Amino acid sequence: MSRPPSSVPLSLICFILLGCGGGDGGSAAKVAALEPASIFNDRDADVVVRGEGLAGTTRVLLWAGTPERLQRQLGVSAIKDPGDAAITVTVPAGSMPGEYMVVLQSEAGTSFSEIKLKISDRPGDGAPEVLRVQGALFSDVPSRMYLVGPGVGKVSGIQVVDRDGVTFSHLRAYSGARLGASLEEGALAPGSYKIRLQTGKHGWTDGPEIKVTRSGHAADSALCFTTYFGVLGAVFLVGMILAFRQGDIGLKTPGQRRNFALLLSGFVFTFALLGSVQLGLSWWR
Amino acid sequence: MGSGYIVGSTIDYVVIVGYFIAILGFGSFFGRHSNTTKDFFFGGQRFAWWLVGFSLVATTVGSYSFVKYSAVAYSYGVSSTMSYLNDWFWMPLVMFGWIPIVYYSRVTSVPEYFERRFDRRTRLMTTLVLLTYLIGYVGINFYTLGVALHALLGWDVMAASMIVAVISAIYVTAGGQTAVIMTDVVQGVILLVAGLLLFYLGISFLGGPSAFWADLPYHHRLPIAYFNDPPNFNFIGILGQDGLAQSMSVYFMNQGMIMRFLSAKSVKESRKALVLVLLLLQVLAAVAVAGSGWVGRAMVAQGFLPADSSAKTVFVLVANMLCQPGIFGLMMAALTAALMSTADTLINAISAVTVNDVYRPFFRAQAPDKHYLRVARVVSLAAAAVGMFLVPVFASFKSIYAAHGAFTAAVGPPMGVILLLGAFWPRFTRMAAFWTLIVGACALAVSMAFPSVLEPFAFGAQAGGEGMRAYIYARAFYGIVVCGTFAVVFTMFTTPEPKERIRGLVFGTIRDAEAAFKGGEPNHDAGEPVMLKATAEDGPEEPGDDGRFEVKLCAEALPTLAASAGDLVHVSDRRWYLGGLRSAQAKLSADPAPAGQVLMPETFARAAGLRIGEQVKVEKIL
Repeated sequence: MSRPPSSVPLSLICFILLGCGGGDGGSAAKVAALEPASIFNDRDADVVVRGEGLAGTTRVLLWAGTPERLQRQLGVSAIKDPGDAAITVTVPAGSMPGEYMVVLQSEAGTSFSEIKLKISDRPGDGAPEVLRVQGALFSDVPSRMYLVGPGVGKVSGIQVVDRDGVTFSHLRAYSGARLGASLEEGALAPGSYKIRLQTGKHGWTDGPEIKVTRSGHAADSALCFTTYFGVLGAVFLVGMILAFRQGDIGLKTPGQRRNFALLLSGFVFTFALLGSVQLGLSWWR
Repeated sequence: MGSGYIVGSTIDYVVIVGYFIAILGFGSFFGRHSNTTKDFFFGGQRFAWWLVGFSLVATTVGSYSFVKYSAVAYSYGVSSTMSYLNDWFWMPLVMFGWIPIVYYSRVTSVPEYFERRFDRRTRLMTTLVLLTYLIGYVGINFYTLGVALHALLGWDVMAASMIVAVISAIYVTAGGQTAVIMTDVVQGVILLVAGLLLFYLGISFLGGPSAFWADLPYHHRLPIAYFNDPPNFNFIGILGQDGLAQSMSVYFMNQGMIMRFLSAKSVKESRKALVLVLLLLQVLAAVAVAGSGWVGRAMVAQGFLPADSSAKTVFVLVANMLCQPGIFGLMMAALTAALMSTADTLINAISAVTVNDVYRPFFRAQAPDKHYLRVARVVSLAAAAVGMFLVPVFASFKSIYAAHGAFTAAVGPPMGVILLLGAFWPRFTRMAAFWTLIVGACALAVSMAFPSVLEPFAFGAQAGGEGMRAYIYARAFYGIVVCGTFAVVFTMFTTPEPKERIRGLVFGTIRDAEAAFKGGEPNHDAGEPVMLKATAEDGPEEPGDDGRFEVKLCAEALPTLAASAGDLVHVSDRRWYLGGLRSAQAKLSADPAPAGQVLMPETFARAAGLRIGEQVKVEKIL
């Protein structure tokens, strides 16, 4: 049961990164330097990883945390210009600030470096500029989008142009260059809309176009709803009828009544639990 | 590179090793409660509903549940709970049909039921099937945990498997069903607490419940999956496979489950345990095993994890991110608990099937109970050893691993269908049962060779893979429909069974089973438990022919109990938290005891673990 401490984390890391027990941690890849070693997160940024045995690298991750505990992990883009001594990767805009060690995966295994990449929010108060809109927005159910780009972390309000009163809620900045915002159900019909963004310094500025679609959930949920409680409810009902005929449930004796109440509450509990009310409502609407 | 990063800290190792030692000691402690085969296989039929319920949830949460269901939760969201929450509709049939049949008819295994309901050849066939399945499954459990511990902690796969196998084998061999139940209660609590704690930590980490919910993509919030898309996770497939076929297997055919129902002190307690499991513990278990997957998905939205994170790794990733040293060890202990609690049940089940369905009927029919107990212990050790032997086999030959899965898929639906029809349809005949088993297995084999036959049963879902993996969900529904149709058609062309032959073995004849179990007319009059002073008297060293001792009650207790001579009672230690560990069933003597007392043979008191001179609780069972 006892193992040298150094071999323990490596195996765990392999598992975490590869998902199947991974390699033996004996990859030949070694990181000697990162260029640049510090980047801002407001735009996609290329980083050159220099070292040895990098040619077989299939995936690169950035890992923040203490030696005992992983705090967060970032994925980077596909590897560009692969070579044995250097590879280039792109760190996406909006990444959380912090110091990250570089983790390399290859057929040979997984290796990681203590040479760290520093990611920071760019200082200053420039007007927000949206590079990307992530997430899907729906007309018939609550949904959330994520804006990525310089200065979006400082946005305090989002409005839909020409749709007075339609605003996004629950704004939350995950970094200086990434912001989440929610759209209530029924706020917008399916279609394309322009949005504008508010910041304390710049007021309202034009934002990107967003797309809103129907979730397609209502009809599907109706079918599931009917099938679920139709099929399973039928089996349940057969059992109830048989138990009634056998005298185990009924309304005459306390024992019968207790059993009946138990079964009935089970049915109601499950009905509510599975969100059938929600499904039923969305079907009705 | 890589030096200095210790993710699993020393305290985590202390927690895991401490857990192993505690379980070993705790399980072995209950060896003294296994003096008969009834104790060894069914825990002496004395346990309270809550103890049986908590131990059941540990058994149903399998070795790979945390990894598997967190992956499903990460990929598909809240609808991942469907697999755990589809069992409720079986409740009336299990509660009022199957449980009283097995309990009152003293059925000890599915094969034994098949012989009594059908014939010996059906029993023989199902015994072979069941043992092949169970032994293979023990090996798979050891293997999967070995792989997980190797990946997590760097332990050698064989060594990790062996540690778990040896620990499980020791306490199961020593303590039998009692040890299984008591350790499973602990393991059940550990895995629920660990899973729910991880979920709670995750929600806090993400900024509270509303932040977590907001960052869960909308389609991940749905409690039920989409009707027939995607191919590998859709509503109709899960309904057929998990809701119908899998749940039927678990509640009607799972030998471990049957033994657990039989370990309760009465049918009523078994029913309550089932309700506890279905309506509460399974719900908690669904959240416990899936919570880290939901948290992982919200973490992706917030930027803490990359969007292309592997679903298979999400449990370990999230556990590592959220847990302080020690708590991470607890998570790993929970992972181990999920395995051990399944493996110990399987070992005990193999022992029961081997002794009751192979050794007793085919090798030595009339031996003293002590002899069978010895055989049961040897078989327990052998089962663990064979399971261990299978670890390198599974590791080396993935085709054998896959063959075991295919074998289970082929024989599961026919067995389930004939069991269900046998228990609930008096007209169903032995000939129909036998041929349904044969033809059904062949039909399932055909579906593996020619997956296109499954298309009409897929309800528009696309094939999710190649060959045997295509329409994998639809196979269960196909099996049920085909076997059910065969069974009904065969039955219509064969002579019905005489009513006398199936009395007590079919729904609708439960009252006959009750009478046979009691050895007299059942008493269902409502009564209340009474507290009486336990007093020893000279009595027989061995129980009567029905396996029960007689106890005498003071006359004033009888009206409260609503009991009379010949009724079955349960005498237990007054401490409720023991859950019936110190208790036993007995028959009520016609002779009265002095006021305020219950008189019992000393041997009975000793076997039940009751303290003479103390107050004990007496309640009527039947």
